[in-house]
Amino acid sequence: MKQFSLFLTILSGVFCSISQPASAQDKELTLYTQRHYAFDQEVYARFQEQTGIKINVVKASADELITRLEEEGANTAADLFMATDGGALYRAHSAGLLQPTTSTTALEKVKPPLREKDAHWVAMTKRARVIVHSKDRVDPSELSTYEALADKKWRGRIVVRSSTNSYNQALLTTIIDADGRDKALEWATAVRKNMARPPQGSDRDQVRAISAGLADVAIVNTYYIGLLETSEEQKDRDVAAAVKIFFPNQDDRGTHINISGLGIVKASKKADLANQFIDFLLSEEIQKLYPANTFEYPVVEGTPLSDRQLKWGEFKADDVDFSVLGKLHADAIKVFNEAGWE
Amino acid sequence: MTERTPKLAFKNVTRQFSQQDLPAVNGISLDVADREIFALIGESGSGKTTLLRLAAGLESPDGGEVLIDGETVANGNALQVPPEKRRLGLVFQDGALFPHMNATANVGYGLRKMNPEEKAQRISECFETVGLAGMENRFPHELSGGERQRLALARALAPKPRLLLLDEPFSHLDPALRRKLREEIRDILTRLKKTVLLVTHDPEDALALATQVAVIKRGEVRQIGTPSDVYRFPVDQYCAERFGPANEVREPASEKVRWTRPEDARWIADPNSDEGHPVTIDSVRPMGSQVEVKVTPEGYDGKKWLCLFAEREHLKPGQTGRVDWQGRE
Amino acid sequence: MEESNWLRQLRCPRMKRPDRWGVFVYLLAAVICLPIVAVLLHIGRESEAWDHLAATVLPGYLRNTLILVVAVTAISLLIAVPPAWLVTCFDFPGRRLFNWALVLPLAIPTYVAAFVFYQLPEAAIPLLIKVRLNWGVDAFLAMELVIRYGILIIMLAAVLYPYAYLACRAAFSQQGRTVIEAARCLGDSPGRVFFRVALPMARPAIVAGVALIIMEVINDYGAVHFFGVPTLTEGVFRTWFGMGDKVSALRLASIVMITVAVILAVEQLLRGRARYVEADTGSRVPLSRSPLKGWKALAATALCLLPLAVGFIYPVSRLGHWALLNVTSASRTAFPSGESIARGTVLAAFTALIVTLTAAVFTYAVRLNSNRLRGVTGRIPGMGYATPGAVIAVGVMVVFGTLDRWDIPLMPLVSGTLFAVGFAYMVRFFAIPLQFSLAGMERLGKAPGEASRLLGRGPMATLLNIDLPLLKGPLIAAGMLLFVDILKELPLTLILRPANFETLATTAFSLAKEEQLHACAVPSLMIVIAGAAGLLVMNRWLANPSQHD
Repeated sequence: MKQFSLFLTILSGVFCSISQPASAQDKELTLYTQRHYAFDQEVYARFQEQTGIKINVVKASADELITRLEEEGANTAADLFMATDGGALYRAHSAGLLQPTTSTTALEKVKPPLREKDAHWVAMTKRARVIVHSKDRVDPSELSTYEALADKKWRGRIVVRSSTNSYNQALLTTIIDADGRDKALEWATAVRKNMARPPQGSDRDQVRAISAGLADVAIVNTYYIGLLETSEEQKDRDVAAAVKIFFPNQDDRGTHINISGLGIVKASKKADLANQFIDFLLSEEIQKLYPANTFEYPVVEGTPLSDRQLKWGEFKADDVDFSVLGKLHADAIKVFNEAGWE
Repeated sequence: MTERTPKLAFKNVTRQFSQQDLPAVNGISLDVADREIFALIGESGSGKTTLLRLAAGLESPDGGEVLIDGETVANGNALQVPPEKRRLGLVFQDGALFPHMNATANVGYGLRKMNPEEKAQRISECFETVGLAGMENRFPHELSGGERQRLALARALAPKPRLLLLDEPFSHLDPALRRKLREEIRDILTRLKKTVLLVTHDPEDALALATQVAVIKRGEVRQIGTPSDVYRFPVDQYCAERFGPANEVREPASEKVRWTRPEDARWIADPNSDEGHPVTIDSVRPMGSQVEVKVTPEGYDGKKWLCLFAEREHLKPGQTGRVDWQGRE
Repeated sequence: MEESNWLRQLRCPRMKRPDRWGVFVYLLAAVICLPIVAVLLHIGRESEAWDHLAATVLPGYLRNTLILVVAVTAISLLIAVPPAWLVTCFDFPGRRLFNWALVLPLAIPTYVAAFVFYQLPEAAIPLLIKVRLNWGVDAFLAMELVIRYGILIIMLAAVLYPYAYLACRAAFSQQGRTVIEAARCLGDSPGRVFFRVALPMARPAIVAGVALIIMEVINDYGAVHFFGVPTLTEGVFRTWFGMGDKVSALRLASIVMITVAVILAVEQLLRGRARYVEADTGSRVPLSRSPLKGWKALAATALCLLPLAVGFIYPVSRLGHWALLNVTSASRTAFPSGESIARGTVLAAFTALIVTLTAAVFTYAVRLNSNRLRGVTGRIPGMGYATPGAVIAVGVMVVFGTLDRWDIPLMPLVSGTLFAVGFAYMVRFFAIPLQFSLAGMERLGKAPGEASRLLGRGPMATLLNIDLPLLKGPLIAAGMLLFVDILKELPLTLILRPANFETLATTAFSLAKEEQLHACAVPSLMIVIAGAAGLLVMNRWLANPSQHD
C-alpha cells in the first residue's frame, strides 16, 4: 500500500495548492454575502488599504448562505453575514447565527428599526421598491398605492419579476402586515391577473418591457433606474429615459423600503476585526459613496443624497419593523403560491 | 496407473454458478499425470472450460480440492491460491495477447524477476521454439491468426510453467491452418515434455494431440481413456458422438449396445449371408474415394446407420444387403 | 439477465469474505451514497408546508416539467436522428466537418444558452404589441406564452440533442453495411431502409440518448429560471431556499430522483445488450457511404447545419460579439482574479482525473469480485447523476458537518475546503466514468487480465499494466466529458465553494446576475471553448478507441 499513501500525499498536495493559501493569517475576514455589486469590491479594497485586513468573499443567495452557516456550525470560516433583505437578517439572527456588534458607529448612528435592537445585525444601505411607469402612456395621477395596482384597468399592463425574488417577498409581507392575509391574497391574485406576461427576468428587464411598449407599469427598486441611467450603453439610457419613478402610498404608510445589512457570525473568533469592518461601512467616507455608485440610500443620518436620487424626489418611507418581514416571510411565499404568482 | 504424484489432480470438485442452474462442475475427480497431454472434450456448456479455469485459479470451487504437484491450491471455500501464484501457463481461445505491447513485450511479460540478459535470452529461445523468430517487434494486430496463437503459446511457455493449459486454442482458425498449427504445436509439446490440459470440442484436436481424454457431460466425467479407446469404444452415445457419427448396434447374442464408426462397416452384397445384419440402402453420397451410405437396419425401429464404403461397391438406394461391423477385438 | 443474476446471488449461500478489492467497492459505494442518504433521511419528517405546496404549486411544476420533457425530447430527436443517419451513411459537402461539429452544442451550458436566447422573446415584443392592439389582451397573453415556451424548448433541444446524436451515430455505424445492403437487395429505397431497418435497430441507442436528455431537462436549473418556467427542480430551490422548508424540498427532490431512476431502469431494460459506447469496429466491414448529389446533397447539408447553427453557431457568435464589446469598452467590470478562475479550472481537471481513475478502479474491483457483486452494487454509485446538485451540496455539508462535530483530527483540513467541492462533484458525476468504464471493460473482456494473472502478476499490477492502458480510450473520453460537466456545474459549486473561489461558471453566473451581459460573455465563452476542446478530444477517442500505439 506504499503507492496508495504516496497517491494520497500527492492528492492532498494538489488540493491544498489550489485551495486559498493558508488562512493562518489573522488579518483576514471571511464574508458570506448576498450582494452582487462590482462596486463592493472597491469598498473591500479600500478597507484593506486602510487596515491591512483582507476580505474573503463567498457569494450566494441569502437562504443558501444561512443553510450553509447552520450546517458548518462552530467550524464555519465565516466572520460576517451580509444580506440584501431585512427578513433574511432576521432569520439568520433567529436561527442563532449572529452575535451583537459592538461597533460604536452602529450603536450610535443607526437606530432601530435599521438595526436589531441588540445590534445582532445592522443596516448599511436602504433601497426603495417603487412603481415605475411609462412616461407616455401613464399619467402619475392614475397611480396611488401598491394596492391600487389590483384594479381591473391595469389588465395586461403590469410587469413584475418572479415571486422567488426576495424584494417581492418583502413587499408582500408589508402588505400582509398592513392589510391582513386575505386582502394580501386578493391583491396578489389580482396583480398576477393584470400582468402582461408571467413573471420573469430581472428588475431591469421589467423596465425594458415598459420601454418596449409591452407593459405600462412595473414594480422595481429605484437603484436599477440609476444603473440604467448611467449605463455605458445608449440602449439602456434610452430605456431609462422612457420611464418615470412613482413613490406609492405617500398618503398612508409610505413607500416600501428594504435594507442591505450585515451581522457578525456567532462562531467568528475575529469579532474585533469584524466590528472594524462594520465601522468602516458606516463611516461617512463610505456611506456617501453608495448614493452615487450603487444608487442605494445611506442609513447614517445626514449623509447627502446623490443628485440623481434628489431628482427622483423625496418620499415618505414605510417605517417597517424588519422582524415582521422575517416572521411573515413564509406566509408571503404561501400567498404568492396560492395566488399563482410564479 | 502409476503410483507417482499426479501433476494436476481434481478431487470431487464442484462449482455452481447459481442455485437455479445445475452445477457447472459436479463432483469431478481427475488425475493428470506428469508429461501427459490430457484433453477435456464435451459439448459447449458441459463444464470443461470451467474445469480448466478451476485449475488456473480463475474460478474457485464450491467444494472439493484442486492439487498441483501434490500441493493443494484450492479447497472449497477455505483456500484459494490466486492464479498468479500457481505458475501455470494458459493459452486462451483467441490468444488474449496484450494489444498495446509488441511481441517481445508480450513474451517478456511473465519474466519480470530475471535480469535483462537472461530475459532477452529466454525470450529469443521462446520465439525460436514456436517458430516466430524475426517477428519480435511486431504488434499482435500485425500478425496472422496462426502467428498470434503461436505467440500466445510462446508467452505462456516463457516463465517455464509447471503445467500448460490450452483453452480451445485452435477454434478461431480456419480448418487448413488449424491442422498445420496442430501439428506444429504437437511437435513443440512433445519436444518440451510438458504436461498439458487441453480443452476442446474438436475431436481432431484430441485425437492428434492427447495422450488421455476425458469426456465431460453436464459437469460430470463420462469416460476416461486414451483417444483411440474412447474413439473406438465409447461407453454411450454422448461419448461416441464427441468423435463424429456413430451407430447404435446391438450384439445379436446379448442384446448389449455398442457404438460403431462408419468406416468400420463392411458391405456384404448377399442378403442371405450368415454374417452381418440385413439392411436397406436409403441414400448414397460419393465422398471422394469413398461413398457415404445411409442404411435402415432391420429391427431397429427405423433408426439409421451411417456407413463408409470403398467406391467400387456401386451401391444404389433401395438395394438390400447386409452390413457387418468390424473392429471388435 | 443481470437482474436475475443478482437476485440469485442474494439467495446463494456462497458468501466468501470479500477481499481488499471487495471492501473497496463496498466502502466507495457507501461513501458516495452517504450524502444522498443523509439528505433522504429527512423526507419522513413533519412538514406543514407540504399540503400547501401540493395544493398550489406542485401541479404547475409537474405540468411544466412534463411539457418540457416531452417537447424537448421530441424536437431533439427530430433534429438529431437525421444528421446522425446522414453522416454515417452518405457523403455530401461538409460531412466530415458535421460528423464532429454536431457534438459541439454540448459545450454550451443551458444557463449560458438561456441568457443568449432570452434576447429573442424581447425581440418579439413589437409583434406582441401589435397582437394586443388588434386582437386584445387575451390573444396577446396566449401569444406571449407560446413564444416564451417555444423559444425555451427549441433552445434546450438545440443544446441537448447531441446526446441523441452521439447515441444514434454509434448505433447506425454499428449496424454495418451488411444489414443495410441486405435490405437494399430486398428492394427497399434508402429512405425505406432508414425507417424499416436502421431506425428500429437503433432504438435502444435512441432510448439511451433520450434518457440523458430527459435527465438534463429535469435537472436544469438556470434556463427554466431565466425563462420563468418553474419545473420540479426549480421547485426544490424555491421550497428549500425560499421557504426554508427542507423536508418539502427533499420530497420534491425525491420525486425528481424517482422519476430519473425510473427512466434509467426503463432505459436499462430496453437497452438489453446494446452499449452506449461504440463497439470495436475492427472486424466489421466498414460502411461505404453513398454519395449524394444535387438538391439531395444540399438538403443533407441543410439538415446538418440547422441544429448546429441554432445550438452552437448562433449562441457562440452572440457571445463572441458581446465579449468583443466588453474587451473594447473602457468599462470597469471587475473580474474575479484570473488566478481564482485558474484554480477553478485546475480543480475541474484534477477532479475529472481522480474521479475517472477511481471509477476505473471501482469497476475493476467489481469485476474481480464478480461472484458476489453484480449489477446493482456496481451501479449504485451512479445515483448521484439523478440527484439535483443542490441536494448533493446540502448532503455533503451535512456529512462533513457531522464529521466535524466528532472532532476527528485533520478534519478541519478537509471540510469547508475544496475537498468538499471535489467530493461533491464525485458524488454528482460518478455515473459518467462508471458507464464508460463498465462499457469499456465489457468490450475488453476478461481474457487479457486473466492472462496477466496467469503470467504471475497480481491484481494491482494487472490493473496498472493491462486494464488501464487498454481502457485508455474510453477513460480519456469519460474524463473529458466529466471535465466539461464539472466546468459547467453551477448550483453545487455556488453552495459549497470556499471563500474567494470562483469557477468560470460561478463568474458567469454572478455577472449575469449583475446583468453585465457583455462582461458575462467572456467567462461564458471560455467555458464554451474549453468544453468544445474537451468534447473534440472525447469524440476522437470515442471514434477510434486506440488499440495500440
